Amino acid sequence: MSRRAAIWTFAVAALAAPPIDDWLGGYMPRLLLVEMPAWVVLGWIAGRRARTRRWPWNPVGLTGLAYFAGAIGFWMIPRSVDAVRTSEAVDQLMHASLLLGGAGLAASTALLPFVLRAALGIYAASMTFALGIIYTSYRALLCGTFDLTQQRSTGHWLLVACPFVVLGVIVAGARALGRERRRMTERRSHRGATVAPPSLAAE
Amino acid sequence: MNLRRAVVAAAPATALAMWLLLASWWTHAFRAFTNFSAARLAAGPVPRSSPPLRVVDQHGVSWDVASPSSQYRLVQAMYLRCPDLCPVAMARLGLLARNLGDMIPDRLRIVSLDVEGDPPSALHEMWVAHGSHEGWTMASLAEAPVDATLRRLGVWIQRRPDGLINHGLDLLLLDPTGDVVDVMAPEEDEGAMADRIRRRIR
Repeated sequence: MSRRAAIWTFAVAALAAPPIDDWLGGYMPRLLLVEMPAWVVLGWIAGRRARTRRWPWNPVGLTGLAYFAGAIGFWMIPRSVDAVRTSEAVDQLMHASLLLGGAGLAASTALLPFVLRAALGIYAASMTFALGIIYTSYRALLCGTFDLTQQRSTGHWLLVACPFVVLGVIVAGARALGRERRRMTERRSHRGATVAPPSLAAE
Repeated sequence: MNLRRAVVAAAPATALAMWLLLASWWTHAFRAFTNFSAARLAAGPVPRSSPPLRVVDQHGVSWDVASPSSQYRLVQAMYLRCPDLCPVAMARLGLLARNLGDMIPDRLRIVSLDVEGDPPSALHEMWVAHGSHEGWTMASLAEAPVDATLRRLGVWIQRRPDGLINHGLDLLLLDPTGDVVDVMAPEEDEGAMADRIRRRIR
């Protein structure tokens, strides 16, 4: 086992270990803003190796993206958040599905066209903002197993996280555009070299 | 080859459809996104009969809130140690009582249903703190399985390990026969709620 794989396995085991899992899941902001993203990130790391490969089940990256969007949407439902806290089986299901969702996303993003990736980023930023507003301002409890203070705190931290998500989207977009420009320049110079007349080549 | 191509093309739709089907089942066809609304749906459509709600009120008197009476009854769950939501809900109930003052207590009685079995003396203290309103009863459920009674009523409840109780704050309107004829979500505006109750009673 490589060092990276060992670190990854250790991180998964640590995150799933009852004391850490209970600590993260016992407080709403920690559950939604630390534990769930951590499982997605670990899945993403696991799926990075597969991101350049074209899997037959993942044409142009849409299957991974659809699975990830479905998983995130499902675990954002207040009833699901409650079930994660009250049922160990549902908690484990959340771990597995988000891990798989992160891997699916990693296997898909490189295959997705730039426009779709940009739309995904903008959607993530707007969802963070919208959820932040809802959790901060809604005066009734949405997740019944937590309390109103934790709900508002989750909303507050989501709003704090929002500019960073936007910044991340902009940086990722700029990097992708830079890569694309470099690739085009390389292609153009390569084409120039191959079609250069013999006289120029001789010079 | 064509079949393989079809399977490959269906993969993204299958992945999304799987989650949508799961979410649809879990949220009762996208009608219940919270445990509170799921409990409301599970109790069935209104009008529906209420389970017996035997209580001991702030004066130490035992009676059944759901028994036939000349009054409509507006019922909401609460408990005295509740740190955040119940005090807000009780304050809003006070505003509602003022808004519906012409109907209380002759045609309507407000009942704050204690889910923790607080004693009449403590309930009386709370009643006094809220203005000793004649048409506002604060009463502890004397029914043995309180949680089951509340679930039958359509109110979600969960007793947390730290001793706090998370419960629904829906306002249930019982007609004089004891049937639940309306259920109002706690986030509804007091004025709109008062209008809705007036329409029901007239």
